[in-house]
Amino acid sequence: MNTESKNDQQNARLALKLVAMAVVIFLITLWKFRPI
Amino acid sequence: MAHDMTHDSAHAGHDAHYHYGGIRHWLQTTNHKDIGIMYLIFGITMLLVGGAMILGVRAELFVPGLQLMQPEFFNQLITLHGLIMVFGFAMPVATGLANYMLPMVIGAPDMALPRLNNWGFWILPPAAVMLTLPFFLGLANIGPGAVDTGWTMYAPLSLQSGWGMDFAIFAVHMLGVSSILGSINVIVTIVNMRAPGMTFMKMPLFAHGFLVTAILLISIMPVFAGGVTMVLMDRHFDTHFFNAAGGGDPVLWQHIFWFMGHPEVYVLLLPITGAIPHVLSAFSRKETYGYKAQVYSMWTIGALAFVVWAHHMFTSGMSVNAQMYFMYSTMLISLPLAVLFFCWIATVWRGSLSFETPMLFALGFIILFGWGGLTGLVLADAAADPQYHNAYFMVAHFHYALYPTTVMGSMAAIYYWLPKWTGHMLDEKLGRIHFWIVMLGVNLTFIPQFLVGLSGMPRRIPDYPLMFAEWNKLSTIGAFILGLSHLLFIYIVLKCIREGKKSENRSWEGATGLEWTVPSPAPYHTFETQPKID
Repeated sequence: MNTESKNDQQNARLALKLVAMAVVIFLITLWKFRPI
Repeated sequence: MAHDMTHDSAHAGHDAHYHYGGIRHWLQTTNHKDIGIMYLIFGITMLLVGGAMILGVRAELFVPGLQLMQPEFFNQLITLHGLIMVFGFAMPVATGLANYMLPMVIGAPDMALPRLNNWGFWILPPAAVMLTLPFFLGLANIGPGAVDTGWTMYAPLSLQSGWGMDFAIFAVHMLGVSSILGSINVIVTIVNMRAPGMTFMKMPLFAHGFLVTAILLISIMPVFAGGVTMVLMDRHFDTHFFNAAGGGDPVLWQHIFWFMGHPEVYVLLLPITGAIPHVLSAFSRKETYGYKAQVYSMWTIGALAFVVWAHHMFTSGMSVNAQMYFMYSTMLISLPLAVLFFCWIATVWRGSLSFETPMLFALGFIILFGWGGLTGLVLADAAADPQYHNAYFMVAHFHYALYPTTVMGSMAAIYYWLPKWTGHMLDEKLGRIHFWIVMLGVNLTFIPQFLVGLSGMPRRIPDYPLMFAEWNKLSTIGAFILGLSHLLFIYIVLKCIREGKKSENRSWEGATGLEWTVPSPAPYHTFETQPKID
């Protein structure tokens, strides 16, 4: 694997982690304040 | 810090033959400069739209009584003005600056995720249409008009408002997705693509400002998206998150909103606190004073931004202990902000100063934002706050905080880097005229608002007692002067592009940084080989 695609993979991995973080924060907000 | 580098000549040939024509190019482009330009054009367009709306409001407030519009329409105008200026103008302009300049100041070839970058931008125009469509339909007597709750969208008003509110909810979702995508790109670019040798503590302050901003955005926008989703569910799916009649809590909305809304203030401020030191240092011909102190201050402001939100809610009935906590934590923010101010002043102190347009706007930002900050301390006092809350004093305060930041700060940055973008110098004489018109306009618009606010004039009303008439007249005249200044700004930029004097690589004598080592205008692909940092 060349350096460029290695870098791309590294970027994609970090981006996916950040997307996951945003989705988790969104879901926690809905769950935390759900009407009981 | 940086080695001078010559742009690769073969690459320059490629740049020279690059075709900019056609809508397809702009729809499909993944180049950070193209996307930066689109963000900037979109942001300035929305500044004019949001500005036109508030000029309608100021025209109505020129004299007491109802002359031009009904209160319902007035409410739509102030709501759209707020939402458009924050989400349509200030954030896109900052993202435009980040897109254009971030790869250049950290020595990266482009943003890390170019396709995501394109997508992030192209979500914005449909979101703007979604937000404003009910307004224009309302003008044609179709539907109830746009969202009219104020940009804070407080419950229960947001549960009772017409379907303009639903459009606003979806627009907010789209704007949020766009912000999150932009933030992901900024974080990944800075973390993974800095030039070799550029450690975090060697990174330009511009990049630090945007990194903190991106982390804030990615943390707060999902919470806001959750909040508006709850409003949507309350409106259409019989849930009762915020409906007191069903056991919900309207104050919960205020907490969710301000958990986003207060850090949002720093989202608007921090990119500018990152850009301003570059301008001050260039026109003082001195290195930035207190680099480390400024970095730590920005990160401290970012951290404190999460824990002070309820100072917006002192009048909503919270316990004294909670009031004390939010009062002191809010006041604590003035410490890192003061550090930034003193570093900026120390940068200028005993420098070899010259007052070109970017420098004027940077200094104007510091002075006027200082007023915004100091009046914020008054509002942060939980005991004094009920006097000012919901009064025009508060409107004047946050406009003194936000106008110098988002407009004057952005203009300082735009004028500073404009020669690098266009390859031409701007018309200094017109730039200076622009600056003084803005200074006159800001103060004439907002000083009277402090005074009528202290005398008890509430915000968000289309009519007022006769005793406030003179100050409101002056405020309206100031607002129209400000509106005209934005048209002058556009003329200056167009004139610079068409007939400005040719710029050298280093457009300003004292400018330092990687971006000034490449030709002006910067090549389509800036750094094919990453520069090495000592």
